[in-house]
Order: sequence, then C-alpha cells, then structure tokens
Amino acid sequence: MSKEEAFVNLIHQNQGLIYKIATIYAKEKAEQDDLYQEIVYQTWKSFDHFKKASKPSTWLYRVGMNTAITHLNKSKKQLSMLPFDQVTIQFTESNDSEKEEKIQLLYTQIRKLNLLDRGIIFLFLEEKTYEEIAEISGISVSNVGTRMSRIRQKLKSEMNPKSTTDGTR
Amino acid sequence: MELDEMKSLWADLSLQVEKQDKIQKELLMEITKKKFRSKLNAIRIPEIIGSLFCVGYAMYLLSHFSDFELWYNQIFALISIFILLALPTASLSAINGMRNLKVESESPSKILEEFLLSKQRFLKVQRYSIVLGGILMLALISPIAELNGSIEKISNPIFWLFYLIIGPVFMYILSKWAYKKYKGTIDSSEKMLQELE
Repeated sequence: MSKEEAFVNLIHQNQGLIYKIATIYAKEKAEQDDLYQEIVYQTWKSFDHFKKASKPSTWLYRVGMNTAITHLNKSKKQLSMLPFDQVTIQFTESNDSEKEEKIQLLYTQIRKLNLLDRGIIFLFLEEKTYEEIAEISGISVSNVGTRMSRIRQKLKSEMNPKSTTDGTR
Repeated sequence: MELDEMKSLWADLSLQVEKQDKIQKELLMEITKKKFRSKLNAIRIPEIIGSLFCVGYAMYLLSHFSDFELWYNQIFALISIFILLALPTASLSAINGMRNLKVESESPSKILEEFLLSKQRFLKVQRYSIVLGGILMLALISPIAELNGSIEKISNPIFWLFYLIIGPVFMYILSKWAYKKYKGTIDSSEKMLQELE
C-alpha cells in the first residue's frame, strides 16, 4: 500500500474522531471546517511519524489535539479553509430534539474549559482510562485525576446551576 | 447532567457520527495537497516580500554609505541599517518558533506550553517592532534627504519643529495602541501557562 493510500485510509477511518475534535475546539461552523482541514493536513505532513509510532491511535489523538491548540491560538480571524463544498462537515443532527439539545449544551460547556481541559474531558468521554489520558496529553495520572474532578465540578455547576446552588445531588 | 450521562450522550453522538457519509477518499488527498500549497502562499509570500523590502533598503543605504558627507547622517544611516536588518530577522525567527512546534511527537500539554511561550515572544517582538519602526521613521529622514539632494528642505527649522512634535506624538499613540493590543493576549497566555503548572 502506498503512503498516500495508507494516509487516506487512516483519515477515512477516523473522520468521526477528527470531526469531534474540531467540534469541541471550535464553535463556528467555518472554524470547525477549517480546523478539520488543518488536522487532515497536519496528519499528512507528519505521516512518516505515524508509521514509527508505537501506538497509532494515541498518535492521532495527539496530532488532532495539538493541531487544535496551535491552530486556534494563532488567530481566530485567519481562516484558511479551502472552498470545497463537499468538504463541509455536514453531519446530520439527531431526530431526537431533546437529545440534540443536550449534545449542544455539552459542546457549549466543554468549549468553556481551557484548551488542555477540553482535551482531557474529550479523551474521558472517548472512554480512555486515566493512564491513557495521561499518556496522550503528557501530564501525570494524578494530575489527570485532579483536573477531572475540577472539570466535573465545573461542568456540573454550569449544566445544573440550580441543583448546585441548592446543594442537591 | 452527571458525567455518566455525558458519557452515554457522547457514545450516542459517536455512533451517530460514524453513520454519517464520509468525505470521499479521492477528495481527501486533493484537500491535503491544496491546503499545502495555500499555506505556503499565505504564510511565506508576505514574509518574503516584507523581508526583501527591508533588506533591499538596508543594501541601498549601505551601497551609498560613502556618499554621506554629514557625520550625523552616517550615524542615522547605520541605525537605520541595523533596524532594517534586525526587524525581519527577529520577526521571522519568532514566527518560526511558533510554526516549528512538533505537533506529531510532543504531548498536548508540552505543545501548549511551548506555543504560549513562543506566542509571547512573538508578541513582544511585534511590540518592539512598532517602537523600532518609529525610530526608523525618524532616523531615515535625514540620510534619505541627503541622498536625494533635498537637504535644504530638512535644514528648515520649521520642518524639524513639526517633525519633532508630530513624530513623538505619533510614536506615543502607536506604542500605546500596541501595548494595549498585545497586553491582553500576553496576560491570557500567562494565565494559561500558570494553569498548566
């Protein structure tokens, strides 16, 4: 299999993952599309490292998160999205409007977290263990635990302001 | 919403995302190649033009250095040459610092730290560039006037009266604006760096 084929297969198989990273790191549709393209581009640029990586799945999470951190930090005004109509990430919304509303609320609250915490909660929601989160994000396992409890508190108070103020659990 | 509920919601979302139509394989490589070209153009061309302009002007002053008869114009020309060469060098190296982060091998926490530090460095360079640009504006007038043979114009005290009043006021406003513009960004970078510790 040629390098191009291997790359295209990797991206094709992981489009959902890239989409989710783009959505939690960028709010506006244009920004999300731009970030999506940027992650694809960065993955190609460093694809030789992928072949050497001991854990390919970890590698893709890292490249995605690192690209989001550096790309969105540079300038929110400098979108360099290519005008590909077909590339616009158009994942259809769920028919269940209540669930869709909750998903949007979840995204909104995650986007309020700082850049590293956004990645940590993302990995947690992706069913990664604390050890895996620590390995991917480059912080210690105990730091993951501390951050997770802080994130938990923050999300809980933001998503259920009433129950937090009432002290109900 | 508890974390368990968030997890189950996320699992539903993941399933939903997996079911969607994917971007065609043929198109993925096309996007990547076009992106590569567009990035080269977007980043490098303005940098190259700006740097060439500065270096070209510095070369022009250097090649006419022996034409300066007035001692102070020699000093002003040297200051100008220094600024014209130092500005693009500092700016390009600061930009490269931000661009050359190893997204493929470093961890996100390390990348974030390095990125914030290089961003601070870049913003500081930008801030100094504005001040140096103002100094350049003042330093360049006299040597250029001598080279153009219009020394009489700048020998007029009224010219300098205006120039020395307007120049510092302009520089003050510019520096103040730059300080305001970059302070917020640098402060937020510092805050994020503290949060990483």
